[in-house]
Amino acid sequence: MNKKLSLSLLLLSALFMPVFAQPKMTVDQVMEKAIAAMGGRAAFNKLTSTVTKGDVRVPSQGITGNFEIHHKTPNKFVVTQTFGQMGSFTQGFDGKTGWELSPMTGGARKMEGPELEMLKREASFNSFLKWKTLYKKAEMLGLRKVGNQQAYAIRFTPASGKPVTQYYDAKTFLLVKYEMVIEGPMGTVPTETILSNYRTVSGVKMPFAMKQSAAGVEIQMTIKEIKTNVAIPDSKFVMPKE
Amino acid sequence: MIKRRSASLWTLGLAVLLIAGLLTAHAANLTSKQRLEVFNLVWTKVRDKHFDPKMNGVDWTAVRKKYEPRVKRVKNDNEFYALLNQMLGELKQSHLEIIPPQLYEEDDTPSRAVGNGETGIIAQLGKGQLLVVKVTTGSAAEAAGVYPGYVITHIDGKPFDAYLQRLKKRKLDPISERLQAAIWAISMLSGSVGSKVKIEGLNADNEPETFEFERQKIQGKKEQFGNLPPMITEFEARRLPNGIGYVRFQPWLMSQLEPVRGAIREFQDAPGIIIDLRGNVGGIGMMASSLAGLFYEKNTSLGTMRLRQGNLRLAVFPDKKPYLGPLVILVDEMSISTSEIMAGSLQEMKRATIIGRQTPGMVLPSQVESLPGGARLQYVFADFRTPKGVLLEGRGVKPNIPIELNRELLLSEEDPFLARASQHIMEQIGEPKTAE
Repeated sequence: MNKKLSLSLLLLSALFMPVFAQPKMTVDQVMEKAIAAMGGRAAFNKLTSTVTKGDVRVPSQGITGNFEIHHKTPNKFVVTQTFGQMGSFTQGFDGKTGWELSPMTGGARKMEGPELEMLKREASFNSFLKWKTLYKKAEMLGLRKVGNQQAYAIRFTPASGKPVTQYYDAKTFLLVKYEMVIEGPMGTVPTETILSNYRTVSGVKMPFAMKQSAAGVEIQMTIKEIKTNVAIPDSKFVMPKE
Repeated sequence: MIKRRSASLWTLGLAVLLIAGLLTAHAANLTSKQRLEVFNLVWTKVRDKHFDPKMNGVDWTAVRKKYEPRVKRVKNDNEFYALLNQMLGELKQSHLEIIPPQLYEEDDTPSRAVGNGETGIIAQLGKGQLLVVKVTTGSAAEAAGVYPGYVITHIDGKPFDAYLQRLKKRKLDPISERLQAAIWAISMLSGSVGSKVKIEGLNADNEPETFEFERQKIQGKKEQFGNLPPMITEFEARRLPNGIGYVRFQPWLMSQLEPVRGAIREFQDAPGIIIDLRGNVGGIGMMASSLAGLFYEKNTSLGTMRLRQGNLRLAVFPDKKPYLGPLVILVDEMSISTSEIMAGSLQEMKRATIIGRQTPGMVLPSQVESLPGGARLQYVFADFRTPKGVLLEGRGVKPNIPIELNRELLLSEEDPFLARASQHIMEQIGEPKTAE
């Protein structure tokens, strides 16, 4: 073996060392560590509602706006994104009906099919704890690189709809990335979201920055405020009549 | 509660621009090194973002090798942007363009590429002549006495015939020739407010007639969306004497949606509706879905954008009280992009009758990003197919009822396109009357 080849082997083994050094973990083990890292079940279970506010930007296009998310146990959810020149775009789920209201639709539109199923999963409060019931299958894909860090990749497959792959940092066990396919009457688009800037709110760690890439467009969401256990009337989640 | 919320496809859709850039560059000051950086940025961005990894059959690496050495030889930014546009032109597709920094400058900056003044004349090519097709009410041209059917032979001493001869040498198809002639007229007629324009031509008796007047401030409201340059919005809605509803607007910006929607809802009892998309160069593609919803009672789609990964549908969700009567869409060679999608898809689904002149087929969905130095790069990231899978890019929309422009037609009727549309609707409902 010449010197050049041996150096290459050394380099290869150096590259693989961190991977070999990681103990093999099951989905259950990673998820339990993740739940603990994010505050633990008890902290999650103390939450009954959240109101999240922040900014949204599409930097490459020069588009800016803000968003507001209301979320309430067990499965009520409404998100509104407002862009100055264009108005507001809202999606909601009141526990039974998923809907959308935007300047584009003219009036509220009832959701069905895959987009409703996806919204139902998102509407499930503390869904992070309920992965065993929300998904019919969870597969450990192993360690993958997310930025400069190693992360455990887990593919969750719902009973209906496309799988979601989540990446948990191998050191901190925080969720650092997820990949999913948004599907509905407006098409099928793979997306990738990077989560960062975790902060503790009411004992639970939450990401305050998200970068989503879809169709070559990066959408940045920055959370400015999260309020917990706020009284939100059920009417907030109901599909508007007009 | 980790928010695994994805931004909705509306958010993504809003970033999808279907507007054609039609303007050319002027000055700025990049260093030679900066130009090379911008060149690399443009080349790489187009390579990475183009919906077709095979780059429409063009060897993009060879294109780089061809153009990179030329960057060092350009003398100014005008030449540099022209070179970049030449490189983007190798792909032979629409919506690939450098938009110069001047178009983002303040309204009264005299260095703007097309100026901030206008005449109020719309001129198009018909039977080898540059014909005045429309004179805007209240415009400087109207005050000066310019009228539809007048033949323009020279603008500010520049002969149209010479330009047409140069166009002929390029062996363009007739639709592209018409488009280029219309753009020539726009650029020649535009200038700074208060500057004089001299128009020479032929009157109705084929005798020489000259008009000289000052350009006036561009009418309409200026609006900017994202990285697009500021655009002038126009909106008009009225009933024709026979009760038909008429709506004209441009471009496709969100601010137009409510007025247009309101007008169409007002026309619920009309015997027919005419949407005038002549001269409408596009805008936000999703707005076409929204407008189409006013004419359908069931979910449908205007077509699909195919991305490098995935696809976006221009889904149509029906309005609560859609208008289901006869619908006519007027188009011409300046009906581009979103206008072509709206017209082409509704024609294919037999929901609308298209009347006018063939559109140019510049339909690719695009995005506009900032470049160092202030210019913007418009690049394509998807193709577009109608519900039956037809690519409109390079093909355009052929009207059901084509209208060939000639001066006799323009001299005989104020707006022959509108008259034909009105007549068609009245025939459809069994009342053969004319509109105006």
